[in-house]
Parts: sequence; structure tokens; C-alpha cells
Amino acid sequence: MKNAVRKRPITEFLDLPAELVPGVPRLTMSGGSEVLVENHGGLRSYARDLIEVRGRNMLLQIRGEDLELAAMTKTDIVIRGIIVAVELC
Amino acid sequence: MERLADRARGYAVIKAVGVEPTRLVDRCAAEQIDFWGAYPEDDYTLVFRTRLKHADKVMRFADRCCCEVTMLERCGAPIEAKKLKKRYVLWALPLLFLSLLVASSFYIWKIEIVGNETVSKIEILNALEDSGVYIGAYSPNFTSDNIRSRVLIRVPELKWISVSVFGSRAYVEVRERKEIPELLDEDEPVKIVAEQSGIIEQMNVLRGFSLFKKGQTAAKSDTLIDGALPSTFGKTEISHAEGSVIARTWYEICAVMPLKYTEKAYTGKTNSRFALIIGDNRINFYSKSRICDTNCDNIIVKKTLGIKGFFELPVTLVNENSAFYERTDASVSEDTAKARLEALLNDELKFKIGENGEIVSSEFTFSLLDGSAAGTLRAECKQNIAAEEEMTADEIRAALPAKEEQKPND
Repeated sequence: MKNAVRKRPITEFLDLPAELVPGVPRLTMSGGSEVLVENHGGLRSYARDLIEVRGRNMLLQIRGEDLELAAMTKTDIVIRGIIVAVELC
Repeated sequence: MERLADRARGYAVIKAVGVEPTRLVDRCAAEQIDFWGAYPEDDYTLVFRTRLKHADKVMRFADRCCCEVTMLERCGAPIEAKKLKKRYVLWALPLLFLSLLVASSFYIWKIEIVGNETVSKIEILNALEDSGVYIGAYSPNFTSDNIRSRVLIRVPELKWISVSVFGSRAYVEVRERKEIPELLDEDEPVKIVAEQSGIIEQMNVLRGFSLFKKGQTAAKSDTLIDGALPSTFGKTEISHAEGSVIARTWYEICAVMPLKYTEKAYTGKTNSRFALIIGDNRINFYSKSRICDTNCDNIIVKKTLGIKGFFELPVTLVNENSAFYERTDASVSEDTAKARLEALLNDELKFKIGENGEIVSSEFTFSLLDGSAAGTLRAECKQNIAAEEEMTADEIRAALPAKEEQKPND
């Protein structure tokens, strides 16, 4: 639970957009069936009901049903399926 | 469902087993190796697909990612092609067929003639053959001027000809010369006679001397308008009589038809035979003669190989079907016979009175006689009974002196 209280990014103090920080993961959800994770740090686990994706200083847990790794490149991952929850750990 | 592009390019199905099989996938992504269709069989097993060219690279990464990798399958078009690589006949046959197809498209295998009405196709085909256009001719050698000049000299009835070559089909279009209409020779000794007996209702004399008047009765072959035109001032003139004579005519036409006849009853027994026509040679795939028993109908179906309207090979498949039948007795009902006879007699009457004829009244009677049906049609008609007939030499001679003798008396 050490990440439960995460550090606030410096951009917040400077009143700048958070995405200006290089390497910060960006999550885009299209409805409840597709998630695009940009700037990922690799897959940690892959199962039909849970896919764990590493990010900078965090772990993204995508829960759902019939989850499928639709596409993956060095920086981006596309996950499709019935997405129930996205958790940041 | 696999994409068609993946099938065309080929792919390998790889199974990775390890503590963290996702590390292999991470490595693939990091190395920019395409992969798809990844699904976890269990917590320690991951199956995915990648391009054939990357398969070996993925196998090499396995050790570094602490995974055990198995290639489950290699499939796609390149793999299938590799399997067929040594089947030389399989490759040679399509190539041979293609080359034959290309080579044969330079030769004429079908000649189609359109536009001819009076000149027969055989005549045109013979003329074309003399000018080098025939079945099996090499089409690039055709010269339109040569063909045109030779054919037009050979068949003078033709005014114009064009030969278009579509693949192996020669499309020959012809135009025939129109005959100059025969001019009426006004001095020709022709008279108008009655082609049918009747009471004259109207006489329209355009040229000639009218011998009948309205209300008179003319018998068949009576001269209605004479070609000899008497003149009170000069000689009798011989001219081509012209005119129409409308008369009331009467017809009585009879027809008899038997009520019993024999008809075909197909037994259901059929026989099929095949033959192949290559060029002018016929190969029969049967031993007996083509003509079967007398009690059968032969239906011959010919199918020419090729693409219809574009390309035709000189190979025709002939299918001869023989349907056997037996002759059985059948009869016609009285009503049917009556209707048929009436229709038949009406048609006959219309033919007799011509297109401009008119049926004023008609009466049809029907009777049965010794197993036959007899019908009689009596009709009163109105028609043009004028028919041209050349005057005989005697008639001309008789007409001329008569005038000369009249002259001094006048």
C-alpha cells in the first residue's frame, strides 16, 4: 500500500497538463469494450479475466471477461473484451 | 477468424510456457515483432501467432525470457507453396494450358456472319475462305482491304463487308445490295382479269379500258380492264392496265379431319451418347450408329468449350439423348374438332381474300361422318378481285385492226 498515497506530479504545481511528463502512462477507454494503454512498461500477467500492465511507478489492473490482447507494440497495448474495472496499484 | 492477409503471408503458432510467459510478449513488442491472437491457456502458458520470418527470432528470445517455446504450427500460403514446390506436373499443366489458350487466341475458331438475308452463309463462307478467313486461320495475317475486295468480287450481291476479330471469333458483318425496284412499263400489254367470280361494287380504273360496270357479275378469268385503249382520234393504244375492282364474292370451303389419331407416349426409357468434335474430326464414344430405333426422338445438344461471346475452342461436346416412345391411339372430342376446323377454315378464308379483303357474313356448319369431322364455311366477302395478266399476241392483234377499221367509219 505504499502507492496508496501517490506523489502529486510537479505539473500540478506548475498548472501544466499531466501528459507533458515524459513516460507517464495514458489510458484511453472506448466504451466498455476497449482500453488503449500508452507508454506501458510491459505485461505482468495475462488471463481471460485479468490483465496486468506495468506503468511508471504503478501497475494497471484491467478486470473483465473474455479479455484479449488485441495489439501490442513497444509503447502501446490495446485490450478488448468486457471491461468491468480498471485499477491503479 | 484469421485474416486473409495473414493466410497469404503465412504465420507460425507459438506456445510459450514459463513462470512469466508475458515477458516473451513484452520482448516481442520491444523488438517490434508483430504478433496477434494471443490467448492464455493457463497462468503459465500463452499461445500467440507471429509472422513466419519472425518465428526463429521469437524462439531465440525464449531462453532469455525464461520460457519454453514450442512451435505448434506453421501455415499460410508460403508453406502450402513449399509443399507443392516439387510437384512439377501441377505447375506445368496450368502453364501449358495458359500458353495454349494464348496461342489459340491468334487463330480463328468461329466465324459469325450477320446481315445477310438473301445471300446464303455458305456462299459467304466460301468467299471468305478464298480470301484467307477460315476456321484455323491465323488472324494477325488478315488484311481488311484484301478480304473486302476479294469477297465483294466473288459475291456481287454484297455491297459491303467488315471482318472484326474478337479473340478467336471472327465477326463478319455484311450488307446486301438492294435491287432497283422494277419500273412499271406503261406500254407493256397487260390487262386486268378477275381472279374470283363476284358482283362488282366498285371499279377504280387508273389506266386501260373498263369492260365492266358497277352491279355487273364477273366470272373468274373475265377481262375486267383491257390493256387496249381505243381512241376516237388515233390508233388503239396498248398500255399496262391498272386499277382495282372491289366485288362481292362468295366462298364455300370444306375441311375434313379424322377423330381418331395416333400419338406418342414416352416410355421413360432414355439413352445418352457422347461424342467429341475437334475441328472437323468427330470422335464417337459409342459403338453403334447414331440413328436409334424408329420409335424414338433424338435430341442433340452441342456445347462448345470456351468463354461465350469472347473465346471459343474448336472443341464441341455432343450429347445425344434418345427418348423412346410408343404409338397409342387417341381421339379428339367433337367440340375440339369443331373449334379446330372452324379456326382452320377461317384462316384459309382470310388467306384467300387477302389482307384488304373483308368478310361480310359467314356461316359454319359441322357434321360427323364415318369417324371423321367435316366442317363447311360459307362466307360472303368483299375483296379486290383484280389480277394482272399479260395480253396474248392474238388479243393484241385483234385489238389493233379493229381500231383501224373503225377509223374510216368514224
